[in-house]
Amino acid sequence: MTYAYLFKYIIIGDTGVGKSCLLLQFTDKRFQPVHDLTIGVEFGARMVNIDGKQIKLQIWDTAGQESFRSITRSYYRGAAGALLVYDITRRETFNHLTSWLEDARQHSSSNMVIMLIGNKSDLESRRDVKREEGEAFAREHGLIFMETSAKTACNVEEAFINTAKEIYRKIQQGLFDVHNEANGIKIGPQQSISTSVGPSASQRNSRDIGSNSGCC
Amino acid sequence: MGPPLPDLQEPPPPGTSSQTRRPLLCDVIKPAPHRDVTVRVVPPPRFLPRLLHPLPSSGDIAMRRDRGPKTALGGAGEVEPGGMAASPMGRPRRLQRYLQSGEFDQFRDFPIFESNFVQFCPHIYPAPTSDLWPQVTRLGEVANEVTMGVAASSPALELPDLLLLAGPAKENGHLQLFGLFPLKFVQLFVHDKSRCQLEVKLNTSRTFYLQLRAPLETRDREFGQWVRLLYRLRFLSASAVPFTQE
Repeated sequence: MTYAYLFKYIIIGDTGVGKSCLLLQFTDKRFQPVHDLTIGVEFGARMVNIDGKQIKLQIWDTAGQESFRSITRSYYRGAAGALLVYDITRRETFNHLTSWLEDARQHSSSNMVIMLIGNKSDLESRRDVKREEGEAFAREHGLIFMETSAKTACNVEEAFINTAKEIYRKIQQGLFDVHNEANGIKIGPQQSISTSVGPSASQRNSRDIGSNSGCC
Repeated sequence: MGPPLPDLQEPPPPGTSSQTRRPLLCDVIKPAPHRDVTVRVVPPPRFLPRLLHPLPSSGDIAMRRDRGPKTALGGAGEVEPGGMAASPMGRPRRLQRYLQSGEFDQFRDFPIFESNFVQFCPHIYPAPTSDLWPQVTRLGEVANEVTMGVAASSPALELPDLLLLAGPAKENGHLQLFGLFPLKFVQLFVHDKSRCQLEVKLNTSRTFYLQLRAPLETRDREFGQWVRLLYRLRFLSASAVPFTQE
């Protein structure tokens, strides 16, 4: 299927925060409660529509365990977007965000859009990190922030698509050089710059959704 | 601890000794008769998957990174400058072509040795644990097509360091990359030599079984290349780490 752009995403964060579940929910609309540890990188892909443009999201789900980190960080290069995930029921996964963020910024483009995600929002009774803390961290570091639940699918679509919208906005503003593959953006086959860059009529399909559904 | 290592013996390449020269990737896939390698095969499972009919395939055993026109080559595994082996038909196979198409920019120039397999489950109660993973189906049934390749992340490497797994996408059947795994976290075994079956064991306790899918006339040769590769990976990799469960 043809697309206007391909955006490379990475999903990063501590082990067990739900990175693979977020990907599975986004690509397959399913939740798998028991999931093997990821080693290396697993991949997913999905088409979304942003402002009338078909965009392919190529998602790299990386291993979160410390022993794989030196390997997986080598694959951060060339990412246009990153989902930085912590678990709202485990304080330590929030405490490690700075380290993940440093890694991401060091090994990828400075323009990379980073979405901070507090996952497992369905486990409110076990919450260990307040939403305000996530918001404050995101504000301090210039990130977008959402709380999600891979289990209930709450805000999962929004997290991926809002990241894509922000990348697309940067393209339109000329902040991303779409010819530089180090930025994690590829122009789709048979797309010319004149047709793929720049604002277009605002048209949305069913997969292009509002910025905040408010379910969490 | 992992299972005991298979009992493998291999004569040194002609004119060399293992003390003086480490093998290159081209040696790994150089076609050779099975008699050069003695493998103690893992006993077959109690319930064997049904034998598969050979499926159409180009029979092209590719391990190339250049994309230009090629001169006639003597056969799979012929060594070329750069230490890589060429396919007899001089063109890359499916996974390599997919990666060369550019969607995965970082893997575009990886030298890859790849084959097509079908995944099967020899156990009574298969228990898939990852939905991102190719699913196994019922006992003995043909499950998913899997293209498995080993790749070197740098042409300078003497041995491959990555395992790539791909398969048809659900929506359109086009090849899609499932995962990339550092080979130091993977163990490959011969599961059943007579059926050209491999066991792939990740150090997360995830294990799956693959049966080579290749034309009858080239299947043994192609499987032999995997056997030789397994041998090299298990015994000659300087970066090999003990296989332990975390």
